[in-house]
Amino acid sequence: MNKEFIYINTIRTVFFLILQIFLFNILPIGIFYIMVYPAAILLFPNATRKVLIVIIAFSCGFILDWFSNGNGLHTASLTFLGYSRSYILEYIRPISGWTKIDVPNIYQQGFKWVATYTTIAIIIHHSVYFFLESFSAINVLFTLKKMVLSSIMSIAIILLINLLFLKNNKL
Amino acid sequence: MRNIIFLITKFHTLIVFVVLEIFALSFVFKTNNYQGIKYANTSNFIAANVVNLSNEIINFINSSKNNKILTEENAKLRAQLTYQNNYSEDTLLPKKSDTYTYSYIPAKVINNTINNNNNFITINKGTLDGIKNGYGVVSSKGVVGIIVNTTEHYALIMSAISTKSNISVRHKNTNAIGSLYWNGNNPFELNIDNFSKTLPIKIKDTIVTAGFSSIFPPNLPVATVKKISPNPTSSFYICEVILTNSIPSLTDVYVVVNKNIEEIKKLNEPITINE
Repeated sequence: MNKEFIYINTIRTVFFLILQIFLFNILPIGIFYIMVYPAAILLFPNATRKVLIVIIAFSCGFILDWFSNGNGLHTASLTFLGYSRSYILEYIRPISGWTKIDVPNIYQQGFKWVATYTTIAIIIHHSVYFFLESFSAINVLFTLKKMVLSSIMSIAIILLINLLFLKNNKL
Repeated sequence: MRNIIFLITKFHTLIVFVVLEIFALSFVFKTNNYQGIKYANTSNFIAANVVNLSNEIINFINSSKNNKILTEENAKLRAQLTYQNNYSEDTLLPKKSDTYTYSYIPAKVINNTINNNNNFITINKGTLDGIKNGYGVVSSKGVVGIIVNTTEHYALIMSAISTKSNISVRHKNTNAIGSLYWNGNNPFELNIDNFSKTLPIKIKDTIVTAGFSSIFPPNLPVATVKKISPNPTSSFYICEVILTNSIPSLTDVYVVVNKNIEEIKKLNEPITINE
């Protein structure tokens, strides 16, 4: 862990949190809920210690709950994603395997790989979030509909942000 | 001992994850009833100040529209005032004594969510201004919600577009009583239960507050009927309504203070027999 690592990752995480709190939380859409902040956890370098990822995910979720009346929903779902991240990375690893300096972003892995990675991660995160939110079997179909719509929108916007801001640098 | 250390070093990620996840989940389930919303919400000082900043920018953009709403309200109140001045001496008209038990505290909305199943609005008045948990909140056009948490300078409202919110309402023409709830789907459409199929309820009929709960004053406009069809499996209508005020774009609200609320609450307490 050197200084550059801390510097770059802090900036990226704060960027996603600000984007979520000040833009996507106040967009009056209603039927679906766009959540871009999981991307902050996804884009950490591959060699980051797993415990660190879980703790960072917990803190980010806590901050988001604080600013958006989430009542622990963001914390629970993001911590779960932080833990399952290493398993996702292992599951869809490149043929040559991971090296120590690899970062799972577009700059290094290409658009197609990042799209798969984001899709799997967002579906995991959103299912935890929406099923915790409506913790009942009555509205399963409705919850599912909301989850699928939100997932599609979130994935599209995260990939767009990746392409626009994070394509040509190491961020 | 060595084995324990070995286990901890091997599974430390899992242990940290499980501890943190249980911590987070305990909040999710502890706050599942809306009286218990204490953890992380925007009525705390730091979050409220930060969110206030972004809201002020949005308010500035919408200021001409908000001015129009306030002017309309002024005009309506002025009309009521002239009416009351003209007929104040007439004893045949019923004195509206019930309206005087309610007073209103104006407040500004500083945060508003509509993306979740239970949505909250933060306002810039708190316990120092006399606001308590359980008070109702209205806007110039209709009902907004009920206060669920207060701090010294801020208060948190559970808005009517929440799946846990339930407001008793009345059909204006037939006086039928129903309960207003949201099924979590579209933030502009709500549903009403318990309207009997025998009643002549039509599209565009007005729904007003019932005034039973002592939270909202009676006869306040709430919604208009959008779609109505008899439910084949029960003796009630399936009733879809649109709220008369648009909660997603609220800026100014009034907290309803019922002067007799403590007395009414005391009346509703179960009777205890002293031995």
